Amino acid sequence: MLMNPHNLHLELPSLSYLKFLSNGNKNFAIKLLQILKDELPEELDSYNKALKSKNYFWAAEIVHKINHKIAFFQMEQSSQLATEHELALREGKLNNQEEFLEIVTKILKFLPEYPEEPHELHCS
Amino acid sequence: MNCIVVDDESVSREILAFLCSQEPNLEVVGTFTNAMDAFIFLNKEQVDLIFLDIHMPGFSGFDFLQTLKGSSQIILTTSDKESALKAFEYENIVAFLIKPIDPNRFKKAILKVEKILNIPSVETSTYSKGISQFYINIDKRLIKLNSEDVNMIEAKGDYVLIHLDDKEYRVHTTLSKIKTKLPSEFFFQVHRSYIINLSKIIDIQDNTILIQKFVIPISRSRRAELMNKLNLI
Repeated sequence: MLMNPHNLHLELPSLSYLKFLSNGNKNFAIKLLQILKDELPEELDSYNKALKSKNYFWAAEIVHKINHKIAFFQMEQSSQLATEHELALREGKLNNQEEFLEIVTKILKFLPEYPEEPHELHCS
Repeated sequence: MNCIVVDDESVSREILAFLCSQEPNLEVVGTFTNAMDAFIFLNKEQVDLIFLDIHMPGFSGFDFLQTLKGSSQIILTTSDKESALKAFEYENIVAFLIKPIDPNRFKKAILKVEKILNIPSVETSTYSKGISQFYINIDKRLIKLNSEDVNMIEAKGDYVLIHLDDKEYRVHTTLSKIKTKLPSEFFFQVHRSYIINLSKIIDIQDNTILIQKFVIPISRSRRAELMNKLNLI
C-alpha cells in the first residue's frame, strides 16, 4: 500500500494509549515513559551501528523492536512505514531509511524531559 | 491461576505485568526475555497460562510452541497480524493479542481462560470502550485525531479551530457536528463558540477557564452544568 508522505509528516506521537492503559495509575505511566526514554536512544544507536556494519538482519530486528514503540504512540502510518523498512532490510535493501529516522527523531523530541511530570498525564 | 510472560521487549513485559496485576485471579510467577529461559523454567514448574511473544530473536514463539509439552493455556502476543492464522494451528492457543495490547481485549482473553479452566471470574475495574478517535478532512487528506489530544475546539465563522498542544487544525464544519464525534464524559461545550476537553483545564476563575495559554469564557447558562461535571472537593 502506498503511503502519502504528507500524512506521514503530519502524524504526531500521542500519549492516548498510555493514558487509556494506565487508567489513572500515574506511577505506572511514568515508569513506562522512563523505559521508553531510556531504551529508544539505545536502540537508535544499535540501529545505526548495524547499518554501519552492513548487518541488515540485525538492523531489521531493531526496527521491529522500535516499531512496537511507534505503535505505542498511536502512529499508524509511521508504524506501517517502519514495517516496510524492516521488510526491506530483511531483503538487504535500505528503502525508507530516511523517513524511519525522522519518525524516531520525532518521538525522541516528544518524550518528556522529565517523565516524572508529564503534563499530558494530568487529569481533571 | 498462575502465569508467565515471555517477551524480549521490556515495554511489552511491563504492560502485560500491569494488566495481570489488575486481575485478582492471576499471578505472574515469572517473566522471561527469551523462550529458552521460559522453557527451562517450565521443565520444573507447571503454569496455567503463558503469554507468549511470537517474534523473538533466536528461539521464536513458534519454535517454543513446537517443543512445549503440558496443558498450559497460551495467549499469543505480537505486532504481526499475519501470524494469527499460523498461530491457531497449535494446541491450547486461547487468544491472539495484537500489540499495543488493548486492555479490553486482554480482559476478554482472561475471561476465556477462566472459562476453560472453570475458574469463577471476579469483577475488576473497567476500562472505557477504547481510545476515541475521529478524522478531519484537510486539503483532501483525512487526518486521524485522538480526542484525548484535543485541548479545545473553537468556532470561527464557517470553520472550527481544533487546538492540540503544538498544532491547530482549521476544519470546515460546525461545533455541533464535531460535538457528536467526541466522548461526552470528557468534552463539554462551555460557550456557544467553545468546546473544551475537561482534562486539560488548568484553572477556573469567575467566568473563564484557562487551557494552555487560552482564556475561554463560560456561558452563564452552562456554568452550573460544568461545575457538576467537575470533580470538586
